[in-house]
Amino acid sequence: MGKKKTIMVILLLAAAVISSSERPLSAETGSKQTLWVFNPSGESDSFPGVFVDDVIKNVMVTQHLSGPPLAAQFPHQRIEIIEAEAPFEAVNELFYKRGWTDGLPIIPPTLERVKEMLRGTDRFSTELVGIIEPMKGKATVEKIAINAVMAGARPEYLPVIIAAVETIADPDFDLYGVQTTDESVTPLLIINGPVVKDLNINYGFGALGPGWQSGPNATIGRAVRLVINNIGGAWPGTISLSGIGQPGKYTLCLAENEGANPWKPLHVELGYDKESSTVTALRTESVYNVFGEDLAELASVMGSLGSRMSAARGAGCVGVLLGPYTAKALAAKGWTKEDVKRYLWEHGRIPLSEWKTQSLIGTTVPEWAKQYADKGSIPVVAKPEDIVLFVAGAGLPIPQHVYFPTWVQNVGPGKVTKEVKIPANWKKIIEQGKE
Amino acid sequence: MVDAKPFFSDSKSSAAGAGVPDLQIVALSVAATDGLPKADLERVAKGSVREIVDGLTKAASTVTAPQAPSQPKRAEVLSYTGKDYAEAIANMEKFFLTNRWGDGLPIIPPTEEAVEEMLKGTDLPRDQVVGIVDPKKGIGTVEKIAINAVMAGARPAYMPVIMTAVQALTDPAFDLYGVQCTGGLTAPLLILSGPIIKDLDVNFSYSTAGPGWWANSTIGRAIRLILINLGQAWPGINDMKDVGNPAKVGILIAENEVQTPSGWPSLREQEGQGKDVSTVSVYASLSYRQIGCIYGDPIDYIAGEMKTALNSQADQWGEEVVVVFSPTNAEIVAKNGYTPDKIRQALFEKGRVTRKYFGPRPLGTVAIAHAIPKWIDDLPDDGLVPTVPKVEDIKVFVAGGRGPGCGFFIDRWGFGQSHFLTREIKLPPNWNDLLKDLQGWETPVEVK
Repeated sequence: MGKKKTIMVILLLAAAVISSSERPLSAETGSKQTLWVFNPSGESDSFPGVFVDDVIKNVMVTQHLSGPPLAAQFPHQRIEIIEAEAPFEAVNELFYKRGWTDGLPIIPPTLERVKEMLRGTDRFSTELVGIIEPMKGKATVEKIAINAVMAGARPEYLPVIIAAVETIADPDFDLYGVQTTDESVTPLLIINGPVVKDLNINYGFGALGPGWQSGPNATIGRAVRLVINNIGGAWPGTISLSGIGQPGKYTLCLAENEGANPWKPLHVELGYDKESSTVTALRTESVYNVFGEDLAELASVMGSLGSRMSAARGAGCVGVLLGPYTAKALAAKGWTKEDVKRYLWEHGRIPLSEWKTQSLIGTTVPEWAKQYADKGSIPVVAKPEDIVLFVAGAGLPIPQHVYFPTWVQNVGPGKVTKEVKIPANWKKIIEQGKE
Repeated sequence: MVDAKPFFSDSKSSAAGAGVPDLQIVALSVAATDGLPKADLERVAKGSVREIVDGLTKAASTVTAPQAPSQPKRAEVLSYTGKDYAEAIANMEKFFLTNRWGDGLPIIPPTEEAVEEMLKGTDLPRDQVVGIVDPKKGIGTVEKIAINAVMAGARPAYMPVIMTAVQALTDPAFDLYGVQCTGGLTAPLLILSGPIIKDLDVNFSYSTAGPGWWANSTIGRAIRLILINLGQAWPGINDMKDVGNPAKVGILIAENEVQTPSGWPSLREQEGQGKDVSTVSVYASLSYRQIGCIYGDPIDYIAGEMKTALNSQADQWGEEVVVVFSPTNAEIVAKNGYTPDKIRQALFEKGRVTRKYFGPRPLGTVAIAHAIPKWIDDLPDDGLVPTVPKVEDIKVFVAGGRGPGCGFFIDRWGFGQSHFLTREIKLPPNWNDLLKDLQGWETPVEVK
């Protein structure tokens, strides 16, 4: 009992004093500390020398929109010097007021931290990775690294974060639509390959959040959100008019539990080598909890109006996370992954009676679905292959699944996979990260 | 104690939390004890009878009752050093991480000064216990709450909301133990109503349930950190959520009263509170289903979603569900003469599923079905069951910005144990001074 109490005491205390080597930093010292921090905001691809913030500020003024209190008010340079008694807090406050955070604390992107972050890649820091919609900010390796520091990511996560930025910058993802619609869409990032083990990316308990265990999941997903916000300039309430938002917009990133997948892992199915690592981004509108011994309940959730967007357009891809327990049971019965997809595609359909009262495009049956509507229901995607099926979960013997409906406007399948470019000195980077 | 094998670590952890760290636990070779027909359970238990007898007779547990929190300990102060401020912070992060403090995202260092500052947000003594946080029964003193609030990035003026939310979450009627430890993907959701929304610049419009606003993000996260650090619910050890839930980052939704149709009472008034007070409600949420209703009647749409949700988890039947209307959809239904009361009534009638989704009969043979009343069991297979026991269990309010494709139907977790609770937020006497601290932080919310 004595032993246990000690643990409780230690675990329950959480007050700290931060001090420099000479003297503790406290109010009465009155000493100012200096931080040199990088600018995380995107430079416009359309207007050279202009930051996306300037473009948004213009829109705010001319269209009388509200926005962050210090929008576009910052020295227009790469590095800025911040002096304060508590510079960590000062940077947090300043960056929030400029619209550069998600509202949660960030790590100030200091010279040291960003340099340290760039250790995670062998690409040039000036290399352009992608143009981020809707304000068309330039995502260079350095800008991505700055936002990754702010998100709390570690240097060894950087190659995955860069690959993730490549996925959302791909026109097939339609980030412009995603960031400007009134619906709440966010990228779901699925990580595959050896990098999952290298970085301890969580595919089990709490993989979708939260937790000390999910450091990579939480911070990789958040880094991508900050890239979208800061480089793409999609400020909620100003540019991004997503009506209600969704929890997954903070971060939504997990790995596939390849060991528990009785079939081909997602990246191998998509044509990548088993030894390569990939990031797959899906346009995701929500995260539906599904619990059911057989696939019938999964199919019934898929065949609801949650799937209206892809059903209306006959385009886009939906995501299905199958729990290890059910995947194993199905495989034991001789089901292939294709069988599962076909079953869900054939049984998870929106009844015509429901569609007619609630359609996104009026009461008419969409052209593409007319051939199926004769039988009384509408498939949620055009073909079984448009169901992105992967296995995740800790493997509790419970039939826990998740359904990720999608959002579709006009452009792109909303499913993009990019290979993670592993730097030459990867082993060393990983070793350093473990320290 | 007898439990299913996969929950062994959970049982161990629970026993330790209850003050019986060396309790004999017999792990049965079954997936879960819940949901198993009683006959099967008996058969499996018989197979483990030797272990059960051993557990009862040998190595008696040292049973020590959990000690009453007579004098909660003041938080100790730790010191971190480095060649500069940034390095000291990095060392602190490393230490916190190895102690499982935090949620994997950056925190603000809870220095003595910052915690003192945070305590200005309340007039309660720092040793006062606000709630005992399950599952490990961490003592949620005002001070501990303030420490976690600092870490989350919250401001002192948010303290009254955070403390009231802790009070509600630790109320037995919320079943925090279940919420924290279940394998179901639940996450506590906070809903704010009243004048405090304007006072604190909480976002009630576009993206209220998403990132971008200091108040929403940090109040929600302060609760998450309290649940992790004080309740000590850790994924895979005693938090058995198989894949987790993104809402566990900590979500706070605020009511959009500005665009609520005239004649509709606010959420707090519907919950029996005064119009002039502010309230926080807590809810064990599961999935955030968007109401993407562009043509047609939003009521039919929501009823459809209710049915699908119930199909997929009929065993959760028993408590409240939450419907969040976007201003646009609220306007549409208000034009058709609906008020929250009428909406509830309509959804109660329309959002029904047949008895067969509740599983094989009689339900009494399935351990998990304890919450399902007999009248449901007695229905014929095609008999209809409403989504909730009582009409008033459907909670209705307006939040978010304009747009037809917005709003949520949020289904529940709970097995009839975890209830939607609303608590009044008591403001300290220095409230107006506290609000001065927020000046210059306002990110105005667009209302069009």
